[in-house]
Amino acid sequence: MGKEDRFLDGKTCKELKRILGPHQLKLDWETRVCYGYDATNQLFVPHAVCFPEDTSQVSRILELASAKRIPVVPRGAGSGFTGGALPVQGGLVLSTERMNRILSISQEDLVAVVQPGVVTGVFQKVVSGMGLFYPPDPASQDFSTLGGNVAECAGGMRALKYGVTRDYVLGLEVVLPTGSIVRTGGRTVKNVVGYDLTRLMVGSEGTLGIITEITLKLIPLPEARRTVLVFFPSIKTASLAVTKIFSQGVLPSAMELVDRACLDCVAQSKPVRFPAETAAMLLVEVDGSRLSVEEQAAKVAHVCHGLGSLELQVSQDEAQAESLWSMRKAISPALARIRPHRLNEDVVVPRSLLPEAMERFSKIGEQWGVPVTAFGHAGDGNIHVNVLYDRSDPQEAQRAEKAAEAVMRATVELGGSLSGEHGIGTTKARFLSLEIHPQALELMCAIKTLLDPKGILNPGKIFPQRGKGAPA
Amino acid sequence: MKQDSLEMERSLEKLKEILHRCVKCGRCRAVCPVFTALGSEPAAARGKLALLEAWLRAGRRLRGRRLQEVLSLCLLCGRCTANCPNGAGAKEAVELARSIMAAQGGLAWTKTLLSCFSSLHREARDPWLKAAGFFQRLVMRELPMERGLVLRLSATELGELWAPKIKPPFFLERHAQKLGKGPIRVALFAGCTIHYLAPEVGQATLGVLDRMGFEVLIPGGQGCCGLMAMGMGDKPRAARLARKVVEDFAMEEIEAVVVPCASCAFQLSRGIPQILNDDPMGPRARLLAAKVKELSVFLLEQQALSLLPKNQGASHRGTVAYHDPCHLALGMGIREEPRKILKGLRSRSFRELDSPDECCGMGGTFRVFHPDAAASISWRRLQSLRKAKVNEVVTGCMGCWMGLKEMLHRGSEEIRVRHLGELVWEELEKEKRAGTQQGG
Ligand SMILES: Cc1cc2nc3c(=O)[nH]c(=O)nc-3n(C[C@H](O)[C@H](O)[C@H](O)COP(=O)(O)OP(=O)(O)OC[C@H]3O[C@@H](n4cnc5c(N)ncnc54)[C@H](O)[C@@H]3O)c2cc1C
Ligand code: SF4
Ligand code: SF4
Repeated sequence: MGKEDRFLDGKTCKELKRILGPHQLKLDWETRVCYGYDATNQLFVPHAVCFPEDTSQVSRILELASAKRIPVVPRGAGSGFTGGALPVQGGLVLSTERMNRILSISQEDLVAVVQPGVVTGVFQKVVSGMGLFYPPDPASQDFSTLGGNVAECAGGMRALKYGVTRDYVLGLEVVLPTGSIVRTGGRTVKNVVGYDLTRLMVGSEGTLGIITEITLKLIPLPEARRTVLVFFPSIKTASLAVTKIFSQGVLPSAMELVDRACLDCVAQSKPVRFPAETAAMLLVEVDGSRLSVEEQAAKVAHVCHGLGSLELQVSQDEAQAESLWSMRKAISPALARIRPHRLNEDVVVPRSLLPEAMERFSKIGEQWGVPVTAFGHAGDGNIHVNVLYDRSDPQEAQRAEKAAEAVMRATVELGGSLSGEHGIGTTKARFLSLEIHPQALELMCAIKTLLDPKGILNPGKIFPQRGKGAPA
Repeated sequence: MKQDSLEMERSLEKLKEILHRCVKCGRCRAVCPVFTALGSEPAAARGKLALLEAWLRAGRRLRGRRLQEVLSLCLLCGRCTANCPNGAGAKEAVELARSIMAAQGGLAWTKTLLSCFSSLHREARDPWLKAAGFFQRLVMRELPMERGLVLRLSATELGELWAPKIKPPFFLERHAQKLGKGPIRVALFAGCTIHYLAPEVGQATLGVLDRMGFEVLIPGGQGCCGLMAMGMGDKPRAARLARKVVEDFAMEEIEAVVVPCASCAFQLSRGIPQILNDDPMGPRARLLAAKVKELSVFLLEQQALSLLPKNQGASHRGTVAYHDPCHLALGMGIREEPRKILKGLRSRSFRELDSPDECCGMGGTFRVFHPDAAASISWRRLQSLRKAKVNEVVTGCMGCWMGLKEMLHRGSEEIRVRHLGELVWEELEKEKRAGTQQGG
């Protein structure tokens, strides 16, 4: 089954086995299938899957792959939304599942060193047990890996107040496509020696190097948090509330907007009750000292009441807050209840234009006759716009493509960006030139060629091109 | 024959529907105990679904050693189904796929044998088990004897671990057809583990029901609920066992069928009606299902708490934790009832575990086929029990009962494994003794 072993002749396999040991290389079709998809729900069966356990193995694999021109695709948990981990041209999937150790946590330096396969949520639990805080919280935090987060520069609900993954990466150990091992950055919060290679690697979607070790910044864990859940009769008032809350001098740690369609979806699997005339829900989290949390929550409530909110709930304890957030995290996959497939855009617009953007997106849906839902990080203008469709209806699929393109164009027109956190991968590559200047694109290509002259590392991603791989 | 192929078509359709609902988001990686233990994608629900999808899309029949292996990496605990934002039902997909494979002739031999054995009627089966008890150490190693229970035992034997003693006479042999006389008549479904290995649990349950004033019918010929056969994909056998259960228990004069084992309760109330959905016995199966009460639910409904002693006696027996059986908590959403009862006991203080929702690692025959993964799963459970520093751990499922015993034995822990019914019975007995003392 699968394609002929174009890249992997007997000799190469033998060498790979020598590097990895017999159990860390898998060639059977069943295993290969299980490492050929991600959250875009597409499948490209790789020729082999390997599970290195340390940096030197990664380095030797890349050296070999470079020599033999074998595509190598790094893979964390495969929860990416843009096809980053898909082996679109076949080759070798390099899973970080066996590199999942937390190497050290320093309470004095507020620094942790981890391997890339550590699951974000597991890490967060460990540090919070020590009174420390690692804020980046993509909705996939319970299963996505820190390596994947760094490679995509994942954001999250708390990005509003605490920033995104990039803001917590102090240093990296990276294996370049040629096999050489590079260390960037260090253990200090301040560091301006030389070019900022760390930032170059963060968000590079596994196309410039394989991250084998990450040094992360930590902060003290806030004393308390409160979650406020508000229902609004219109998206507009909900979006207005967002700006009003800021103007009251409150900087929530998270502020999530969810439209009615999304709400109806999660309500099918999570216990959530809302007034019948709800059009949008706002989920606001404030944190800080016990005292300040009460005060902030009161201010949020005051603003929302003033705007005619329908109903408002304040979490009373950690468990209640958790259940509110778990509902928010379930939204994205639950949209499949409306239509099985989707074009998942995570556009960002300037905050002040949020109400206008929301209106335009919903009009685009009507115009093309496909369901368009919106939810996401209202606080920073990062909205997940999902164009839903059914692949088995080719016409609907085509209309969905058009609608998605219209969403992108509208975003750029509003001075926004095509992706706030999911990256470009394969699904958005053809839109890259909408946002990136030709000269900048050229520069990026030059950097890629410099680091990966043979073009073996995660080929077919980010840059517009005709993917050669055949879907299985 | 035609019936069979129709059945197959239907199973395939159902399977495809589930596969279609999975969007590969990866959430199940966070909840699947087997994935947590092994850390590789084929172990997660998503991996299994993707693999099945690829097989079917390639137009192939489900077979092959590796596919079977991947499908065996499942405890059927239901965490994936309970946590899937799309309600995809990966656990059900594994069950369906196993049954399709089995029907197409792909059941591994051990599983086939095991499944045959569990379907024998009790009379035919008992001599085997008596022999097994006699030759326990010897026989089991030679011959993985093929009743679910025996297979489990053989697994524990293989590792030189704790193995319960099979000691005839068995529970159902000792206990009369009928007990007590009361306005309300209930039936007791004992299940295999109680019958062969834990008669004390059956006796305690009977004692409680009797004290509460019920008339209890105990059909003597009752057999296996069929959950194990079902889990292994042996649908025809599971259906035969299901019909037997319906024959034995669908009696009009009975108001409830009390089941002290969570797994059996799940099978009787959810599994059997589904298996017999299109069977002529379907309506009776559904009637029966409506009467099935897991022990803790029944006790709570019948106000058992009010019978318990009110004041704390001198003999405080320490702290107790509760272990949620997968089939009860995830399968039927029953979490609060057993806790309410435990909190109502005066002789013990209740302590919640820090991670209540974790599996013991038993999972049908999972432990037999994947001892290392099972050990790693149960190790996590052991850690939380240790951390809680309890004297006893209570569960309401006989699978967990075995799993926990074996685990605690392995960890050389002093913690005792108890069944909910036993504690309630102890407390009632104490009350009675105290009562007679006061009276005298
Ligand atoms: C339900 C759901 C909710 C989500 N919510 C959010 C959200 O709120 N915010 C957000 O930002 N994202 C979100 N995502 C997207 C996704 O979880 C993130 O992009 C995440 O960072 C991916 O991590 P992963 O470990 O799954 O990486 P993968 O999907 O395996 O890989 C992602 C990319 O990183 C590369 N990569 C992985 N490991 C390495 C490594 N060690 N070195 C170099 N490259 C590597 C891969 O090649 C690929 O290009 C969500 C996804 C899902 C399914
Ligand atoms: S089974 Fe459910 S939770 Fe698991 S990947 Fe599929 S959709 Fe996600
Ligand atoms: S039923 Fe349990 S063990 Fe099986 S795939 Fe689902 S979560 Fe994993």
